[in-house]
Amino acid sequence: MRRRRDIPADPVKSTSETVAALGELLRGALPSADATQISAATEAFESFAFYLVPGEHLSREPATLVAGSLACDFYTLHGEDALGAEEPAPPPGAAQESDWELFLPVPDGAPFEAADLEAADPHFRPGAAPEGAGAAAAKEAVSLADLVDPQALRAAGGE
Amino acid sequence: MATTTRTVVRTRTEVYVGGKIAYAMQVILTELGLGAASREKNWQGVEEAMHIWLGEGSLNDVTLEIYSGGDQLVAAFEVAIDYSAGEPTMRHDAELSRLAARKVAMQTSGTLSFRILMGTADWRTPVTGWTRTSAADASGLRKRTIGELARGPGITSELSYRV
Repeated sequence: MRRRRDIPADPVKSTSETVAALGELLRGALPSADATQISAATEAFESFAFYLVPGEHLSREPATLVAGSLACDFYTLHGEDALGAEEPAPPPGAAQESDWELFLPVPDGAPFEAADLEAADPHFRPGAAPEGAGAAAAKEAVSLADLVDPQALRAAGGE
Repeated sequence: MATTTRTVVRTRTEVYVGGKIAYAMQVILTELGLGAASREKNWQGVEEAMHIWLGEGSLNDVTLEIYSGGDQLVAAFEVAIDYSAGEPTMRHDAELSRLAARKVAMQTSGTLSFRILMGTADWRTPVTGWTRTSAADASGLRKRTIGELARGPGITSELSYRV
């Protein structure tokens, strides 16, 4: 199931704060995964984030979490778009998953290459997540909690 | 009694403009073949210092000095800060820095290195990791103004380079 989350970045958050927000979303999405691995990946991401976040690359090419049947695209919001935007909730759908991948863009002209990302953390994958990511690994049985997206419900309710 | 709620969002222009300046420096360094060295730089420290000094209005300019052979200044990219602009919009143009770097790259060669300097008022708040130093003598280099790099409410930044 492909989901989307928009993270308010600068000027609401500095790059470090934006990285921390992404880390919180990963932790919230993956309660069964090893928290120390998520923290290590978040820390490893920071060295790339100082290029990707203020350059607004993640507003065009998302960081995508793939875990089991979940694929969630994390985009960043900048400038006026970030002001007043709500903080997103962690995406549901991967509560039981302990294996996960984080796809990250390697823009043209970036000071790093795909190999640098791969070497930085075992969960990092360079480039866009496959179109069918998540759906291909859909489980036969999922809980109602995994199917319901609270953020989508709030949006539908006009909050 | 009727009540109302009001959401107040602080724009934090210094976060926006500071991030864009730090990003522009990385774009320039990558275009000059210094991408690997750029990755080693503590950009968190650069951003944090700019947030503090832009926020208090003590930051006058940011300079990226480019050296050849370790000690010969061959180019300098300068970002001048202006706190008098009243336009409320936020915008940036990173392509300007890429354009400037490509022009400089055509005129530089050899093994390059760099350092980042921030020109501040004497009353600035001290920031860990930043010490007083002097800029290299760039009087032999010709200055060219490129244009506005980033702006937000109360802060604008203009990019120029010397080569």
